[in-house]
Amino acid sequence: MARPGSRWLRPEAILKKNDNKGERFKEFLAEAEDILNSMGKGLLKLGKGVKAGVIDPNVLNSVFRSAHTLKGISGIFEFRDMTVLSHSLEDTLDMLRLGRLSLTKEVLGCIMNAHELLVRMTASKGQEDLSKEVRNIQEQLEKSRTARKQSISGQINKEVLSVLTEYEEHRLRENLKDNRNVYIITVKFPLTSFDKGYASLTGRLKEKAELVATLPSSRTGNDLIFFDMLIATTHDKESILEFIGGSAESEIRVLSEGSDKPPAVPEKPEAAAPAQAKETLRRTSNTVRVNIRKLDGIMNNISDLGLIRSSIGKLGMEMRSRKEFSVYALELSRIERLFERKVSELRDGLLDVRMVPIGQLFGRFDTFINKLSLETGKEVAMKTHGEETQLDKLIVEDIADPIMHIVRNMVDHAIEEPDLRQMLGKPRSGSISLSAYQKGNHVVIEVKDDGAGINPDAIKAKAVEKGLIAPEYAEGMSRQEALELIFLPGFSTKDSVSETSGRGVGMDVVKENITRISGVIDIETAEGKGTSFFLTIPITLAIIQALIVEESGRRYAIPLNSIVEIIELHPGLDGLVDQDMIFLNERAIPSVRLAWFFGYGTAGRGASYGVIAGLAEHRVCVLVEKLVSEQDVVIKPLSRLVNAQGIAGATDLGEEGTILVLDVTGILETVIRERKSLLKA
Amino acid sequence: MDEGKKEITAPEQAFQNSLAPTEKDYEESLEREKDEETIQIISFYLGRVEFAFELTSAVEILKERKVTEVPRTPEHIKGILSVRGEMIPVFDLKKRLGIDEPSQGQGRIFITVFDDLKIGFLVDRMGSVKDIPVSGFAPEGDGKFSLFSKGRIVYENGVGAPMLDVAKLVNIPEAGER
Amino acid sequence: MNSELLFAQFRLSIWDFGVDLRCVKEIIRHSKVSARPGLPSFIDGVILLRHMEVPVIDLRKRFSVSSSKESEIIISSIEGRITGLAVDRVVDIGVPATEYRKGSLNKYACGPWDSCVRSVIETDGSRIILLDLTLLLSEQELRLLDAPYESVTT
Repeated sequence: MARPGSRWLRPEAILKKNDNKGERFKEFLAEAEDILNSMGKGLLKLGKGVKAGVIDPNVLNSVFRSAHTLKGISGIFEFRDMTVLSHSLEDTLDMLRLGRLSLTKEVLGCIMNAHELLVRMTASKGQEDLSKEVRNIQEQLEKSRTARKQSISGQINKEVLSVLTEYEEHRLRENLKDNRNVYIITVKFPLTSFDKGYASLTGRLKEKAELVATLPSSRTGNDLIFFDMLIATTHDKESILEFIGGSAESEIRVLSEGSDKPPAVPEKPEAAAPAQAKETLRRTSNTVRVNIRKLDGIMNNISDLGLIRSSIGKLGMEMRSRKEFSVYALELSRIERLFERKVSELRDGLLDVRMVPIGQLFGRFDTFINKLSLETGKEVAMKTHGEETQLDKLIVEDIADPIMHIVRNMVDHAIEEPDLRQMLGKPRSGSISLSAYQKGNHVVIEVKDDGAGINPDAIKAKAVEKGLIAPEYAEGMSRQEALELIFLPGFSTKDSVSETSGRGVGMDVVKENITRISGVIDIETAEGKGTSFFLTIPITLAIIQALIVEESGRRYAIPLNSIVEIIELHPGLDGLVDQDMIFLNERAIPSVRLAWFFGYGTAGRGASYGVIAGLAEHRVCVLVEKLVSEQDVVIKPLSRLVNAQGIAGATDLGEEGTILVLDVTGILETVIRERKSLLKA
Repeated sequence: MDEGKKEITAPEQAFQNSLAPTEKDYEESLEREKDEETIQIISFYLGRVEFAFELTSAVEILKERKVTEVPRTPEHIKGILSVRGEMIPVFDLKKRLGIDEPSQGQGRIFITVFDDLKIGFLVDRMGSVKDIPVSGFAPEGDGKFSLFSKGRIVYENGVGAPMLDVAKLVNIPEAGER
Repeated sequence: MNSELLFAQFRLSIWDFGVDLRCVKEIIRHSKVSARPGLPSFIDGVILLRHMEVPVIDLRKRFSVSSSKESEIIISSIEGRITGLAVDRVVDIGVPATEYRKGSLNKYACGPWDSCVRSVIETDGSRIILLDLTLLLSEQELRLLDAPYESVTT
């Protein structure tokens, strides 16, 4: 039956569950990330090589291969910007490995810029329009290619030269330049097993020499196959012959023998790229790459198990009240406790899976600081401590940017130029250290520099100048309060555009990002000596124990971690309850009625409980009507689009619906800020 | 039927020779359509006005249901909704666009993915999924809703709808900001 | 007679009609029929369809029945001319007419459409008046449809 074309509703287009193209693209991005990662490591090595004056050809080759692969796979996904850029990069790298271009600091700088842009492209999933930047880098790369290298003429047999590829010729010349011995070994193998024999010989030969080229020999024999292997080595002819001895019948011809000048030999080159190792498709790693969203799914199931367990518990309690069921009730209780233990273990196991060592993050800063130091002309070295400290993977990702901004600011502003440092009696190279350690349920990350430090008076003056605070207010400020002014929005807008901090991300954003994950940021500084930023963040946001409270008809969850004390409010209590303060143990703690904080009315109902919460030295007392229960909840973050103060996330309570999880630090800070401005007025 | 008679601009090239196109003309137009690039859109109604979003990823449509309110957020954010364990912000589109018409009956919450964000929009009722040829899309602003739209889609026969820009509707922060 | 007849069922006011599915090209749900100068009177407007201007005949006007606010357009081929027919609503497509009774027109089914009625069939308790589109337009009207197309430039 021919249905005419029509424009009806097409329900199958909606609820398309399988977005295949999207999945494959995500895999491609992960692959690209991996490639760029190893490219980055290679570039670092090349950087060191440039400084030492010796470049390892294997590293250069592997970086070239990375660019080449990237060009290929990005082409499949029509990721134009990436294809174009990696192609240009590949061209430069090709010239380098063929010896047609010298790897200077400038050229390496270009390459690193290209690498960084590729990283950015991958991170933005191709959504950002970077065509201008791509053209920019392309031009840079093109310019770098025009500086050609002078070829070194050598006395090499024209005949031999004619059969070598450009790369092989380059390697030959390099070895000659380094004064190595170059030999041609003619080897023969039985036809039936030559591949094994050849593989074994080359494997062993690698220890003593570089195999520049393998050429088919003109010699022939019965059931034999001959090869001419062109090798370069520091060993002499006799020892080589002796070395290969029994593995093949061979004869050796000398192409060139080094003079007395000691050759410039690099330290034993880094282990060859895996492609040169024994050929296998089997991976050696024991790890599994998992999309963290899948873990979320499993987490949901575990929290559902938790709810089921509590239903079993309730049933048990009911049964206990009836005499005829008491035996069964006891048994049920026992089972429930067993169940709870297992669910707990399951949950802990899953939380553990999500944990990654923070070293994973610290490692990314190597290249970054290198690049910053190249750009600013300042010398900066990085130190790390506590890399094995574990954190939830998602939290690690959330703190990556804040730490990056702090480090950038440090290199830009805090660390002095090498000459100045020398005058000040400091080592020419500045140092930035990243350290992490666990403190209870939290991890403390310290980002420290040995630069100029922060002057609280200068901060105050700048804040007043920018109209962020009133001059009278500035006068009464304590040193610590003055330092914290840098977290005010609008504080760090750039007066002059600097190359690295041109994007102008201020410390206020850093603080906001940390607060969003229920963390706290503190500063310590000593003028002339340096500054430290302390980020205190929870180890995991996933499952926490929470107190459920009720206020103006709504329920909320407060993480138990952040509850210091719960007090019951009666008239005539030991401590005095004031409108805005509560006095407890001779300490004045700011207090706020939760309903008022959220802008709801209380319908005349009074607060019966005060939940005293805090983090580190800060305290707040949140007054609520009722306490409901205590239970484990899985905190889900709210979307980035919902920016709510005092809310850390939300959680599903099964039948009772979704309730909000409070962020006590956020409430505390807001309360203090709002009251300060009231006091001012 | 004849609401607002409109002068049509005919294309430079005539696709028919007679007043009524012939069968051949018709077949050719189908061929042409196959070659023309189209974008897929999904339309919905706020009050009596029709709007559309570009359909770039799978969407989900739920009957309107209770959304958990989040205090101290703008009025057009209705709150958050838990969908399979994920917290999705729900935007009240009528409030966002300043459309003051009463809802008739139960609305729909239409969940779409933008970038890596899942977003829910509360609308009155859903329309349909359509393929619009790129030529039927005018990138100029539309006046009343131009702040939030990517332009206007002109359907084949003159009826059109503003195509809303999700990024502008939810005010997605720039990279680096929050 | 022909037991394999499939038709498209549509509504005009309180009546249900059907046309041979082989004549139906497509159905446009949301229509905006536009005016165009120089149209013969039996044509009520044109709609743009993939850059073609398809003349539209409003069947409700033609058959003098009241029309609903909404209309849908059946793009049909009448003797090889592509024409749009404006109706209230297209109810179903691909309804088989396994049997039909000719001449069972009764008071209910009589109307200005008599000249192009093929038969009346009953399915599921509703009465459907099957029309023969070849009988819808007169010779003169067909000739007007063949008139050269002049594009209007603004």
